[in-house]
Formats: sequence, C-alpha cells, structure tokens
Amino acid sequence: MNPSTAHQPASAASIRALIYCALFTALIIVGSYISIPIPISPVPIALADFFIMLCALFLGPKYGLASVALFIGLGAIGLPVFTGGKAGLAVLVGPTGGFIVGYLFMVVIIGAITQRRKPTIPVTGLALLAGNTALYAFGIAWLKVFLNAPWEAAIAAGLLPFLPGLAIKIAAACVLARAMLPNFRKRNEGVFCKQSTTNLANPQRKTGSVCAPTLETACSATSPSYSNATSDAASNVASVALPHKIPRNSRDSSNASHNETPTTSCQEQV
Amino acid sequence: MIPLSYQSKPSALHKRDPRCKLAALLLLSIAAGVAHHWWQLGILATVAFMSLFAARLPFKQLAQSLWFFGVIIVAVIVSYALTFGGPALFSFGNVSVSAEGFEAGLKFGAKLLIIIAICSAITAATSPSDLGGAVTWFLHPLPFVPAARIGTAINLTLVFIPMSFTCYTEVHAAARSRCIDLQKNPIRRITFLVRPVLEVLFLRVERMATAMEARCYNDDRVLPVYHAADADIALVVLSIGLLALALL
Repeated sequence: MNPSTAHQPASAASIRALIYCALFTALIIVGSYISIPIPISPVPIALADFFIMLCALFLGPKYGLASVALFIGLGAIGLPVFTGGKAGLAVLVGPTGGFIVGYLFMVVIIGAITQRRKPTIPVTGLALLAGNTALYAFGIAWLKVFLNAPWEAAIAAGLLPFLPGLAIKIAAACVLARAMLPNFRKRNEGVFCKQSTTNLANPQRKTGSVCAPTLETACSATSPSYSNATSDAASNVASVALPHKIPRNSRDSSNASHNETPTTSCQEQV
Repeated sequence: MIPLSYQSKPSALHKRDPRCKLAALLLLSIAAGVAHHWWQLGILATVAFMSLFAARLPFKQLAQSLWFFGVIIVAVIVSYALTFGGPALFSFGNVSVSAEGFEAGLKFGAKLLIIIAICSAITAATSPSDLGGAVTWFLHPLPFVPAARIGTAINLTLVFIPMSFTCYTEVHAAARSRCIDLQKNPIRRITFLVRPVLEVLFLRVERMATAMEARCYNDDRVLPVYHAADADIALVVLSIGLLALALL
C-alpha cells in the first residue's frame, strides 16, 4: 500500500460498493436455495440467475462482475453455493461449468447496456435478453464440448427446459428494475453511476447522467456552511433522494450567485 | 439453525486454525467432487460424519434446516433412474427404472450430502471474520489482489446469508398471510416476494455503510496472526491424503 494513503479511511462510495457487492453475492447464494414451481414448466424457477440479473442492473458492470466473481470464488473454495448445493473446483470444470463462467459475461453485458440508461422496460428487457443470450451461448457450447454431444442434444438439455422460467425471470427483473432502480440510483449517486452535473437553476435539467441530485448535492453547492458542518457519516444517513425540492432560501441564493455552476457529490465537498 | 452460519461452541473443530480449516474445506470438496467408487464415498462420508460430531452440531436441527437438499436428492435419483438407459432394475408397465441411473442418482446424493456435511461443520466452526481472515492470509502475498477487501467482502457475505434467509422467511410468511401464494401470475408472485426483501436489505446496507464510515474503515488492515498446532497440520495432511484416495 502506498504509505501516503495508509490509514486513510476508505471513501464512502467504496465502502457502499463493497457492502452492496457482498449483499448481492449473498442474495445470489440464497437464490440458489430458493425455487418457485410454475405451472407451465416442469423445471422450477431457481432464483440464483434472477439475482445475478438484478445484480448487473443495480450494481453495473464493474461491481456486478466483482459480486459474481466473489460468488464463484466462494463456490470454488468449497462452500455449497452453486445451484443444487454443489461446490468445489470440480463443478467449475464439469458440464455446467460453462454456465457458471457465462455468468461473468452476462453480468458485464447487462451492466454495460443499462448503466447509463433509464431503466425503461424495453432497455432493461433488451439488456437482459442480450446477457442471457451470451450466458446460454457460452453454457451450451461448453456442454456440447464436455459431453461430445450434437448441438441439438446440447440445446435440448441446456436451454429448452429453462425457457419458460427464463421468460418469467426477465419479465420480473424488468418490473423490479423499473420500480426500484431510479430510487436506488438516487440513493447511491456517484457509487454505481456517474455523478450528476445538475443545473441548480433548473433541477430537472441534467447532463451526462440519469442520476437525480441528492440532498447534500444541492445543499453543499448552495450553502458552504452546510457542507462544512456535516460529517461523512451523517451525510450518508441523510443521503435520501431530493425530489427536486430545495429549501427556498438556498434556492434563492443559488439563483443569485451561481446559476450555472455544476454541482459535485457531497462526499467530495466534505 | 441456518445453513452456512456460525455456531459458537467449545468444540475441537472450533479450536483449529482457520487457515487449515479453509484448506481442508477446499481439498475435501474437490475430493467429494471427483470420487467415483463407493468405497471412496464411504471413507469421505465417515470423515464428514466425524467432522459434524467434532463441531458438536445438533444433528436433528441440521437435518431440519437442510430438508431442501433432501428434496433435491430424491428428485435427482428419480430423474436419473427414469431417464438413464441400460438394464432395468424393475418396471411398472411402460415405465422402467434403470439400475445404472439409480446408482448414478445415489452417488450424486452421497456426494452432495458429504459436501453439505463437511461445509456445515467447517462454516459452523469458523466465524465469518476468521474465514475472511484466512482468505486474506492466503491472498495477501499475491500482487495486484486487494486481499483485505476480498476478505472483508467474504466476511460481509457470510453475515448477509443468514440475514437474507431470515428476511426472506419473514417476508414469505407475511406474503402467505396475505394470500400471495394464491396468485396465478408468476411475475407478480416473484415481484411481491423479492421487492420487500430487497427494500429491507437495502435499508440494512445503508445502516451498515454508515456504521463502517463512522468507524473510519480502511483497507490497511492488520493481518490476523494464526498459529498452526500439530493437530492443524494433521488436518491438512489428512485432507491431502483423502484427495489422493479420491483421485485413485
């Protein structure tokens, strides 16, 4: 470690990213123990890959990849975290190993497509479709090579039974992303998506990001005393989304002094 | 009792060096994966049973909390027995039960039970911080690997697993009381189940992040100090021996 940075507290954004990565890894593991039977298919819905899709949507490509890599690493060291309670390096080089490695490609593709876009159902659905295409292409190719089977047999074993469940998972992930992702991005501005450069005179107008301004973003730009007074921890407690409401007096002062000043995150200000 | 959760007890396995327990977990899970003869599986099953005994885990509670794996094993045995070819063990009308498939299903079940038993014993006997510390210790010499961060992430993941299970159980019970199970639409069923779980967990993450920031968390962690006794080294040697036996 660089001596100049030693003993420096980690940034709030990196701590938050670390905890969310761990949370989604835990959710993926829990998802592999939960299955929901559906009437239209004999194969129940396992929620592990559903949580991997959500992980990519919420955390983006970088942290989503870290979360899935941690999940695979835990399985590799012997914890029974893979679907059906499997564990160990033998699973990674077994017939289903292609699907496990394919998760890495899936999470990167979904995260890269959706990270800077609004989570509308067409965008999310397209991203999930692309990610799952990569997953199944990789998994089925691996299965074909491993079993030395023809393509038809590999597709029949590795894709067809899962299609009804997959369609339901994609639809549910789209609904959840549309409902939860905007608020999640507001709460974690600057962590999983770029910081907004909001024009305070017109808070609706944003450049370069889909994130909305947070309470500190607005207040720290308008009132220096506020930003100096708040501690890092306290600012995170208060980092709830500001639904385009700024205190009247601070809005007035901002209009008077720095109308066109782009804001930065409160964490930087503090 | 929740799978993969730590149980504080004064057992022989709890006292072992976490690094050796982690190495044993890795070696024995590989051994269970590659074993293909019944005698190999028998030896590994004996070791797995002894490890549960050494960790002083309550067998009844463990069996109750792992009922899900029993369902998987039965489903796999039935599926293998009905789909494999070869000579039939017995048949009912047009349905014949393959002897080869039945044996393959039983072997799958035995392997799964061995892995679950060993893993339950070791994770129940190793606290998340010790497990994270052991991983950090192994990764620390590697260049460009954020060992402390990975150790913390593993530590947090092992904390979140039981928390997520508990949260899911509570939300599921609440949803059932509101007759969500009667919903025919699977998308609504998943959404009604997952959304509140995520909302609750995100709230807990926020609190945890605030607490870590308030305590000035950083990656410049002091490496945990471990001392391997003779019994710890014997545990690793035994695991290597079992892996070698499984590879025969």
